[in-house]
Amino acid sequence: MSSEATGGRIQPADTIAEFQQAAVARLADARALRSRERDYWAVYTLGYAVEMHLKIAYFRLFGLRETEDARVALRMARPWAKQLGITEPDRNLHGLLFWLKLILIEREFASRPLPSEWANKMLSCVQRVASHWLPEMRYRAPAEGTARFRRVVAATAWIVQNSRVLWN
Amino acid sequence: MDLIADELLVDSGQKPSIKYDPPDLAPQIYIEDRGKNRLHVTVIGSFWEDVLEVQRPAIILDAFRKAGRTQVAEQISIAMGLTPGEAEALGMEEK
Repeated sequence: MSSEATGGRIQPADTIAEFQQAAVARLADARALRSRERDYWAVYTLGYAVEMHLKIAYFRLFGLRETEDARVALRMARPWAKQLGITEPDRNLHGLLFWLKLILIEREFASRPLPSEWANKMLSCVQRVASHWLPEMRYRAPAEGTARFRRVVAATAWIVQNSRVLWN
Repeated sequence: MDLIADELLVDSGQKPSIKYDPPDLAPQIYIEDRGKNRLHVTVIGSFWEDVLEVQRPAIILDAFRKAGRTQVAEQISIAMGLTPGEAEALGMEEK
């Protein structure tokens, strides 16, 4: 995350480069948590890694360069999604299905659709992670961590390995 | 697949309406026309409980073909199956 001098507050990541570093860090965090049998929080961390990969794909589709400020693109996402008729909730811009649908529909709109079979595979993986990565996790006692982890780890790996197809 | 195909036939008037037990077994089928001959389909139903997410799109496409809606099936670019619990968790229980 970039940091600014103003009041010592940490500002949200502003660039693709920062998001990429953060995504790598979140995956490392998830591995560290898993090694300490903190599977529930490993899942929580994996969700963020997926979110960042999807946002990176959206920024690239938007035409941003690595070190370009992404905040405009972020602010445009909600109204653009509304124009495209996307009904998936954005969940304060953390919605994984929201970001994926935005990418897929934007590509269809621009006459650059992805092959259906591939798109549906990506959708299935994001759906798997999204249905186990919920905001209320942070307020609950850890439960079913290992089962959750097993359900999402393969899907996360597939998303991370294949996310660049979303903007190519 | 049969549940979805049957519900499509009910929808098109080719079959009488079905009473499901339990009620959340009833497929809720949402079809979005995205233009350029592309359709996005979401099917919500408890019958997805033991079906892997990755298997659901093909089942949905097969159901449309089984219901005689082959042309529609060919236009489906995105297909997603959700259990009612998944739909609620994702904030999509009312599309």
